[in-house]
Amino acid sequence: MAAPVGDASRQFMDRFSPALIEELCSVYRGQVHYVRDQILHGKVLVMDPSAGSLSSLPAYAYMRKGKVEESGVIEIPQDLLGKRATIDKRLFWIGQSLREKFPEKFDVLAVEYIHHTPMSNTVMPSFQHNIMSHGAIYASIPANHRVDMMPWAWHRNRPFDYIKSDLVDVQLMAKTLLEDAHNALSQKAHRGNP
Amino acid sequence: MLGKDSQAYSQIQGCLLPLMSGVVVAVDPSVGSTSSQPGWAVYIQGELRASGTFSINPELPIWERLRILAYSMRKLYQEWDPDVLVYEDILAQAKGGNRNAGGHASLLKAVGAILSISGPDHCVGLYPISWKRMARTTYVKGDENDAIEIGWIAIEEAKRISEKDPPRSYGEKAKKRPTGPRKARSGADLP
Repeated sequence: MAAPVGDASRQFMDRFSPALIEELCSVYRGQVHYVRDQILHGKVLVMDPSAGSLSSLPAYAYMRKGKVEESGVIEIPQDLLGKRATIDKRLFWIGQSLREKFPEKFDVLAVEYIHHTPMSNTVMPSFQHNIMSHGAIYASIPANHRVDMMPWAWHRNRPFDYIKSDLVDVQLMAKTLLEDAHNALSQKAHRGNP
Repeated sequence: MLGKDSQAYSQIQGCLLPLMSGVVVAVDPSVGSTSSQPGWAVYIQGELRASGTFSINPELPIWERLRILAYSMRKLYQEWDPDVLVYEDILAQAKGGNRNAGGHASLLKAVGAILSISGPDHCVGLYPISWKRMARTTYVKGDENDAIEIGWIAIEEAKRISEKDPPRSYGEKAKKRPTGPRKARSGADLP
């Protein structure tokens, strides 16, 4: 059963055509299939990107050998979140925090994919800083493989009493990634593929 | 000339001395494609000292190109130890923009990667619409030339501002000009 989500979020998701959703999700499934072994047996970092605001912070889940070992949010000082604070200070803070917290190289880096636009060929202004935070994450976290986590993929795991938060979202993303990697592995075993 | 209320104006005003007498790195962001590569320029005490472009293989996936861009920027910072980074800021596209949205998103990611790196104490972001109208008549479009021009404009603006306006603290906005009361507009006013 569909989980209750905010009207704005639902309205935005409704603007995507089923064909586009299917296309994006098939890219995600292909990526998971390709790195299923690394997801289940290696070091994985799942990131819910954000450029930092009073309502949202970047969140992470660190997985090792198929288990979530740690999850949390990247705290940003209040003076960098105010109206007068500029994006460069926040992105630097995020990059620096990630580099200090995760100096090692990951097998897989999974980041929630932000599609620039549902319909027209334009970047939505509200996504500008979030897309910039993608660049900060990719530049700061070394990894062998990358997975674009589609929102539609992990939304199916939202519980009925789901209340949106950065930490809950990234934990659901990690759970979904593990499930999908297991599914990809069982498909491989079923088909007898090498 | 930048407007006093603009973010770039207050950013420049927050680092007048480093811009005019320190080391300035100017960057024209790009993730590296067949048509564009990131351009850079270095100014010391207002004089152009070096410039060039980073070479990023456009065949690589975008996340690897962003890593290379970040690595190249770190090398540049190590070599020159800049006080100020001047970069071309990217405007969010209004609906109906005629640019490729995927390419635009890549540019935003390139800016995000550049800004996330440890480096100068000050950053100045100039929108294309701002700096292109202040470009010199000798300016010719190109990745390297764009970086050279962006740096030159930030330094020239710093000189102009330092002559006219005393420095303010970083991020502090100029006071809004007082305006008259707005005329109420309701359905009854319409013909």
